Amino acid sequence: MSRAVSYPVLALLVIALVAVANVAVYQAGMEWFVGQPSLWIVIRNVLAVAVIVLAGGALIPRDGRTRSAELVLLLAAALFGIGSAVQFRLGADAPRQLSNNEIAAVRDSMMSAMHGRASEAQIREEAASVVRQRNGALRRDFEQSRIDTRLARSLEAAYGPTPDTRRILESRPRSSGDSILFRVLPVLVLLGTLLLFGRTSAATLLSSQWRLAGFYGSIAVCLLTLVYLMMSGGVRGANFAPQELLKLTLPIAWAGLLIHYRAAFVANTRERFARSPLVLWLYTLLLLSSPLLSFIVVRDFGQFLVISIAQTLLLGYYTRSALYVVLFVAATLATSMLLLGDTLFTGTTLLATLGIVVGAVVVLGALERFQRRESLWASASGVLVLYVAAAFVLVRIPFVMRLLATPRQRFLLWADLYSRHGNPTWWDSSRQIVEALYALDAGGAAGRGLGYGTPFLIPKASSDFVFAAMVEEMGSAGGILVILSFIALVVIGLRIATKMGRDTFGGILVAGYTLLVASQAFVHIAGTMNILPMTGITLPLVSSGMSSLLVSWGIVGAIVALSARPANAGQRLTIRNDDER
Amino acid sequence: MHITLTQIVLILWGLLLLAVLLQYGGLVESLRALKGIGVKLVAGLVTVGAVAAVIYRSTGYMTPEREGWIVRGRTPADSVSPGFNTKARFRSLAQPLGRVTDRNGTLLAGYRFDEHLKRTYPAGNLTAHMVGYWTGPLRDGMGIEKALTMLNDSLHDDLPHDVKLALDLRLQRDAMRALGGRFGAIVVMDASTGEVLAAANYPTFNPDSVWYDEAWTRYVRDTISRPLTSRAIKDNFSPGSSIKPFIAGAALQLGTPLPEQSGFVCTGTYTPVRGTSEITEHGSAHGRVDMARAMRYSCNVYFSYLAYGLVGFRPAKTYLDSIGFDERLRWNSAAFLNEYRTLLPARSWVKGRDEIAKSRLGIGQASVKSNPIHVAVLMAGIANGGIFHSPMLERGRAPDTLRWHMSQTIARKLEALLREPLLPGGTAAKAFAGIGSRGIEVFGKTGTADREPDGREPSWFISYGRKNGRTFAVVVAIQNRNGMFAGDLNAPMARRMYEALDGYGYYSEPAGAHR
Repeated sequence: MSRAVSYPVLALLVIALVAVANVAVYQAGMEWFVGQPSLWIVIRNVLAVAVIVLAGGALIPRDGRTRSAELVLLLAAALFGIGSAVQFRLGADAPRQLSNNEIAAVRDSMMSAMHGRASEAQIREEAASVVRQRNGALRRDFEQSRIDTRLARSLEAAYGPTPDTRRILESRPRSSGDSILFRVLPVLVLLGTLLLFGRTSAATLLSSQWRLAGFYGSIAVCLLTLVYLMMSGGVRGANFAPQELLKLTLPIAWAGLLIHYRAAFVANTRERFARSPLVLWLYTLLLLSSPLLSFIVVRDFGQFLVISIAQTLLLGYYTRSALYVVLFVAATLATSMLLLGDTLFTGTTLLATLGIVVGAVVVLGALERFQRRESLWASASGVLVLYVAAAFVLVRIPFVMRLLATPRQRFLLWADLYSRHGNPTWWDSSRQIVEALYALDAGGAAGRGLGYGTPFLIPKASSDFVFAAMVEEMGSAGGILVILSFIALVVIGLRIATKMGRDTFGGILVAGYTLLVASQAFVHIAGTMNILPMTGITLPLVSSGMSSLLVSWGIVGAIVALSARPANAGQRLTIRNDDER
Repeated sequence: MHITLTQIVLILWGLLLLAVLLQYGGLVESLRALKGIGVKLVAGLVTVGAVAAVIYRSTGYMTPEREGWIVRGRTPADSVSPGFNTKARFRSLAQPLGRVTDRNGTLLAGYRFDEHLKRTYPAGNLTAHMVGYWTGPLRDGMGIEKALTMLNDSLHDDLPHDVKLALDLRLQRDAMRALGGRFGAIVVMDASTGEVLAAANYPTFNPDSVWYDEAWTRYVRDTISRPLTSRAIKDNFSPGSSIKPFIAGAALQLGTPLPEQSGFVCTGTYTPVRGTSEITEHGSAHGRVDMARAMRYSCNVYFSYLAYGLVGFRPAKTYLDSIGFDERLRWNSAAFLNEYRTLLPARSWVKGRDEIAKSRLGIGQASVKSNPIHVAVLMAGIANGGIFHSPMLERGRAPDTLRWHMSQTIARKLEALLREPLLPGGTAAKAFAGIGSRGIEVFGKTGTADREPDGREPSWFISYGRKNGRTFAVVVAIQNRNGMFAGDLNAPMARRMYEALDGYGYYSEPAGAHR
């Protein structure tokens, strides 16, 4: 096989793709948008992608350069570029909502006005309702002027300009688009990562002593993040979402754990498992507890889901067995049954849960019989049964119930979107998912055309529901291309990891990063389509949201840089567990 | 084929993925290199599932059934509004509707800037039923406005489509003034083309105010005056004596021996079926009358005997059906209006006729009802020598001939009969005294119906007037005559309409001018 297409050609293809997408938005925007788009945003978006593709491509070290690394960079740049066009579109044509500072100002003024007369919780609630009202008014104003713009444009096209239509069309504000930092900082992060890891110190960082330092350091960062979150009052208050940082540090910890306790997870030898199933249970518990810990502290159900799925997939990848995947899926389904329990499936809950457990045990049994590891089957089934039993008891404890209130609501929405359960606010909660579903439905096969749809009707279209916004304007064709791009990214990333060696620290690290991207994209897309509970997770590389973008590009940079190490470095740096020798 | 930029984006993106797939070190290699049943299993399942889900969600998610399921109320009642589907709601609100004008170019529906662009109806309640209203997703629309909103959907475009009506707003205003606040309708039609020059209704509503729930509920709940129902087009009334020209038409068409040939004498009463109430002349007997005299005095006995005793109910009904009494009269308009049935009139026959009702066919009671616009078409057809044009809604269309049949001879005979009520001693003679000085020759028939079970007591004047070879049909239907007779109530209104037509010069312009 030969390299049919060289890197510059593919790079130009990506730049052209991004340029056309941005120009399409610009063209539609001149016609329809409430805010007149500026050409500067198009130039700046295309420039950002060009810098990523060209400078990033140049920064991949020459000697260890692989095709896979180039393709990862190109695919990420293409997704980022399309994302920039969608953000451009959503930014120029969306209702302005109160910024965090304005919300804080509202809360402060309420605090000073109502001080001493109401409890802090009441004041917060009051402030939230004021913010909701003002946002609603802004949204209504926007929708009205969007309708006016469109009507005026159509009427002008048919009857020629009149004073009224001129007044509407000429009073359009110029839109500033999303902040330029969203395009500059990710590029800087990528180039910085490439410089840091790719040129000088990848080998050093992966050497034995540095690796241990990185491992403990990352655990420290995890803990510090959690402490910071506890101090700053959780996710909602913060501008920057520090729990995203966990995505950079956790894979390091996973890699370290897996390398250190390899024997516990890779049970090539049935004797080891026969001897110490307890070890497996303990380590499984240890691994499972890290996302759980973050969930308990941060109350961020989405991140919890992303991290646990990634971790499960990593275990599956590392052990070459579907054991953990089956365990996880069964446990999740059983938990969701227990969570939904009393409201939705009264009486049948226990039966359904039992069914899931039995089914999972059967699947596990089949898998393990196929691989001739009966003892593993027994222990894994034991873990599952114990887990379900514990969950069954735990979800009835008031403290845990309070903790699980949000995920429980998400699960209920997911299971029964249109139901009411005697709760008058139910509809407000399900509204945003319904909007996303309408958007997906409105797209059809080829979409309404970039800039011609109405994605601004979806709440949080630029971040949590960006996939719905894309499908509305680019159709199911666009949606499938997004999914295929992510799948390609992930498959190539895993290939890089496999090439580096399944048992090496670097290999596991790359696999961990890749699977985090995969699970985040999966949770986002499936949540948008109401296939999974909606969790408010961004789409990596595409959604707006500074922390999400920076971390995504940090991950891409790390994958590219690590993959490009000299070919023999992998073997040299592989440190096998002493038990194995 | 027109390729949009978005399609180019999709194509380029697909090309990029194809290139990635084909590259050395690309997807195929990577897939081959992946080992471990778990990864491959999960990756495959996720791919297939995701693609299937995207296709499902984006092609067939919100089916009408599902939409109906939501609206049917599995959701909290207060949150379900007609704007539930926000995408459809937005599209409906942002869709440009064309201008609706009358034949002189006066705007009847258009946009006005009042903080925002608003759909307004400058003619207000004058043309409310013809033009209809549009309230976006808020309520089901009506009339031409509703048809316009559906036009864009069927044409798949976002362009405003203009409609120029054959209506004359001046005549419409005069007709409304002539009605003078009585419940009823006046239809004015150009006999040579079928153009509807006026279709006035009272009570009416203000189409600008149906946006507001308060006004809307008032309109809907007002079951006595029913302002949202177009009496000229959608409603029908007992024709009373105004059915008589058509009964005469049936007898002439079928060659029935007429009552005078067997020595008919009007004694003032007629009992068609044993044991039923008799049909009376309200105290007077006309004596020996022929058909012309019977038409002049509107002799109930003569026409009841003719319809029930000589022609027979079934043949009479068959004849009336052949001139459209059992039809939903279609407009001569661009196809969209008929397609959506927004202005189609009601059918005429009363359900559940018994023998008594059948016997009253000849005096237009109990068994049949007629619709003002339908009767206007019939009058125009008689004036035309038996050629019926379907009512023309828009200006500038070719006349459309209906398949109803009436021979020219019979049309001539009917015209002679229709002259009778305006002759001295006729039911409408007083109202039209002196119309000849304007040079207009009017042919018509009054109809004064008894109180029907629905509480209505309608009266009619159906007519057409000719001058300079130009003919216009005028039909005046009043819902409750309050004890008055059609000759004193409806005929003067019709006369005002003829004078207005003459005043605007309709009788002096050649047929089909402004076409």
